[in-house]
Amino acid sequence: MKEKSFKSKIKKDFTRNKWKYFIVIPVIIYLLIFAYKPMYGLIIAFKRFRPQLGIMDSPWVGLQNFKSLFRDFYFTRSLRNTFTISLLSILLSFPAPVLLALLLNEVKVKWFKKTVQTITYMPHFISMVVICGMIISFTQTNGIITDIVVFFGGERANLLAQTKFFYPIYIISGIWQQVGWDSIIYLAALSGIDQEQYEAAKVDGAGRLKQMIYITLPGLIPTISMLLVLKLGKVLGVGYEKILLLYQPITYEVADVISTYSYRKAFVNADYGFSTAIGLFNSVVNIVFLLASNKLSKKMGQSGLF
Amino acid sequence: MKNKNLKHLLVLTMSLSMVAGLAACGNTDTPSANVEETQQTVVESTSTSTQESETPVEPEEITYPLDTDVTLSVWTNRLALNSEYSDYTESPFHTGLAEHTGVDLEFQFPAKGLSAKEAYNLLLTEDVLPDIIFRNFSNGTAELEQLYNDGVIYDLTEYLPVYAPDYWAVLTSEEYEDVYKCLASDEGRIYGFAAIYEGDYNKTYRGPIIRQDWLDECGLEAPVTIEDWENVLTTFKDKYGAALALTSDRLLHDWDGLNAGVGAYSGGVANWYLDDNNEIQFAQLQPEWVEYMKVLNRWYKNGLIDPDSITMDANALRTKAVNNQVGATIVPMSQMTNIVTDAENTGNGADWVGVSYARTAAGEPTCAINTSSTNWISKTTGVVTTSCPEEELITALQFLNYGYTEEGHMYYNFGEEGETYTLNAAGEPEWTDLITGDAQGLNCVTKYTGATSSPIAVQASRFVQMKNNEAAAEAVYTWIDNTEVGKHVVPELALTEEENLTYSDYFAAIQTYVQETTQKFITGELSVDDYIDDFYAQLENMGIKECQAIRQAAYERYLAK
Repeated sequence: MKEKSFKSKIKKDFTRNKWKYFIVIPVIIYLLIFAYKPMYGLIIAFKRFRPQLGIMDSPWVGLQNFKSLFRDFYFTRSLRNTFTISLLSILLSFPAPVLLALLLNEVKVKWFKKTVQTITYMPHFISMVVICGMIISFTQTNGIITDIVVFFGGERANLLAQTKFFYPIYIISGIWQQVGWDSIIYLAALSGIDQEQYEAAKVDGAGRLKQMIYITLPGLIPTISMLLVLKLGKVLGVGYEKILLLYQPITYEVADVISTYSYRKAFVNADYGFSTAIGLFNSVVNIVFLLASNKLSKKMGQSGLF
Repeated sequence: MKNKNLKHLLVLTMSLSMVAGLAACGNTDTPSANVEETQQTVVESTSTSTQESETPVEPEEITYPLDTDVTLSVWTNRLALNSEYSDYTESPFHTGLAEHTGVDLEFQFPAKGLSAKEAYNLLLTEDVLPDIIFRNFSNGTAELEQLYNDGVIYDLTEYLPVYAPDYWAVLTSEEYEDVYKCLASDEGRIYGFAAIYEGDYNKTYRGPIIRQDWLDECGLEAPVTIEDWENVLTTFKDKYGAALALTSDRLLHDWDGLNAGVGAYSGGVANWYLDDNNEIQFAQLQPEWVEYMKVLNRWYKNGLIDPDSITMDANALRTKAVNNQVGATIVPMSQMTNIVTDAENTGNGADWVGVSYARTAAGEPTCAINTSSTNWISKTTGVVTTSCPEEELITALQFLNYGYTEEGHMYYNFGEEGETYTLNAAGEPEWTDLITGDAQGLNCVTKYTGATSSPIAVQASRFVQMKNNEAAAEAVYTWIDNTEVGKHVVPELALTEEENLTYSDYFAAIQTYVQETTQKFITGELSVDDYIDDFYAQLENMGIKECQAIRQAAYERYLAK
């Protein structure tokens, strides 16, 4: 009886919302093909994969790939560097677009606002390889950034050849690349804030700073917390492209992250099982962070993701 | 299973062909269609050979173009198309190859946007493979053996002497014994057609070059020992503000630093070498290497080495060279060709010449040149896949054999006689105006020849000389002069799968560790004197001894072949 009512409920739901279900079909297909089907490939992590044999016929090796991973000499170092870079970028790169959006919001001269926006978007559209090429030239002994460092009393040297400069270069260039693009979503959220609130605040005698602190910022908090949760869910997903292009053996100590180390390892040994094991490990850590931060976000009174 | 069938088939067709030969005409009344087809090919190819052949392993004489209507598909990341062409049907070399061999060829290249390795791995997942794969198998024979065990390629051992006699003659000649030893599996099986360097000249394509005009101005001789180098570099720095500049990968490279000047066997790349007792040793564990690190550190501190060497790529180096900021460097021939051309175009007066690798004393042999360990070009091999039907196997072998015939050798290396090259009075090929007048310069040779990275043939030394400008072609002679590096380079060793797993687990970390420590020693971030004991202890900890034992065992198997 209960079963039947459940079925009929579903049926009713389908007939009522059929167009909604229709619209969602492409998304479901997309997820099935590009998110669920590849999960089948995860069994490579427990195999000694050989492409010519295919996934099914490659021999099982149990947990050997994971043992290699945890026993690996550079595993802890790569893990530490990954966390460091990730946390630094959450601390420093994450607030930058919020700040930019807040400032832009205060600018009332339209042409100036537009110009600033266009200029800050631009680096986002330059290919990573070109960006890194520029960074490498600018930080050479006679590069323009080195000139600036020297002007402020630094020593003239190749900046990328020193461990102490790697994080600043990585983070600052990252902010420069993404700040404009990432601020778009905040600007969109800002336009959704009720203008009457500002008028009310003005009547109450709030200056621009107070308006920003008590109206604009709280209006942005849901967006910020959502993006932060998403960001924390990718804590181990430090992209390897940029690091690969910028690091040198001399900076491995601070720059070598899990993805670059596994890249080098796979490149030398074509060890797919090992790489997949790393991928699986990454996903597990990421999901733990995602769930934890989501919970935290809810605890702090925000809605969270789910 | 397939192979066994084929062996029976071979024996059968061989005996049939003898009968056919005696009967002096083709017998077409055989029951099996398969046998019939194969037999026809055999009969055709034997028609010109001696009719009295006694044993079935006598080589077949092959006349090109072959009389066949077989189409062979060839997948390769070599024999690349010239940038002017988008398809092999436009390329004179590729269409010409089909004409000369008489086989219809269908070339497949890695798709744009994929690395050659990715493209190859994708290829392997397909059910039907191309008939022939010609690529650099970076794990050498171990990789080929794996492919054979997985049923992807044919074992060619038995067929090569018969159907690819010219290749077989090259492979078994004394000159290329090293290729044979590397190519043969531990059981003596041969899986493919190796691309081969003609000799030391081809194997060495990289070395030190220096500004001769500055040497002359300062009244200095070309440097030989480390003291000479230090003296020259100091003078260059004081007088011209120029340094020894290297690209970032070169700074670390194994054989081609100036390490030989102190008798060390590597720079910053974890490297194995053979000592005088034929035992495998690790270069970084030797006192000479420590000495070398001290030299480089001193040079770095005194500004003799350009500090940008750590991040510099080839283009940045070129720019610095044009701007007179480089007094000496270590480059491949092609880069030297670029640097010399730049100097000519800008008229900066630079006269770049090759100089010898450093030596411990004038007249002493040098133990370091940048050289390939064997004549087998980057382990590039042509293999026949099991997707190639058995009855087409012989055609495939005969096609692959072409490059090792006299005619094929000339075609792969120099193109068409009279069209792209003529023979000079000494009987050596010279480019015609078609090549020398091309807007692409010498890069146009890929339109007409197939030897640029590696041919399915022996790459002629003459080709390498003709493909680069004169200064670079000359430089190689100074690089290969009086060297005993051959005695010390470890040949390509075939590790077993188990060995390989253990070895790569250990060695990946060791490679990383050696590279980063070397750079820190050079820049002085770590002091050599203080840190060297820790360095040794750490290497031990990382399993250097185990790696050495694995290598030594594999080397002994190699010697036994």
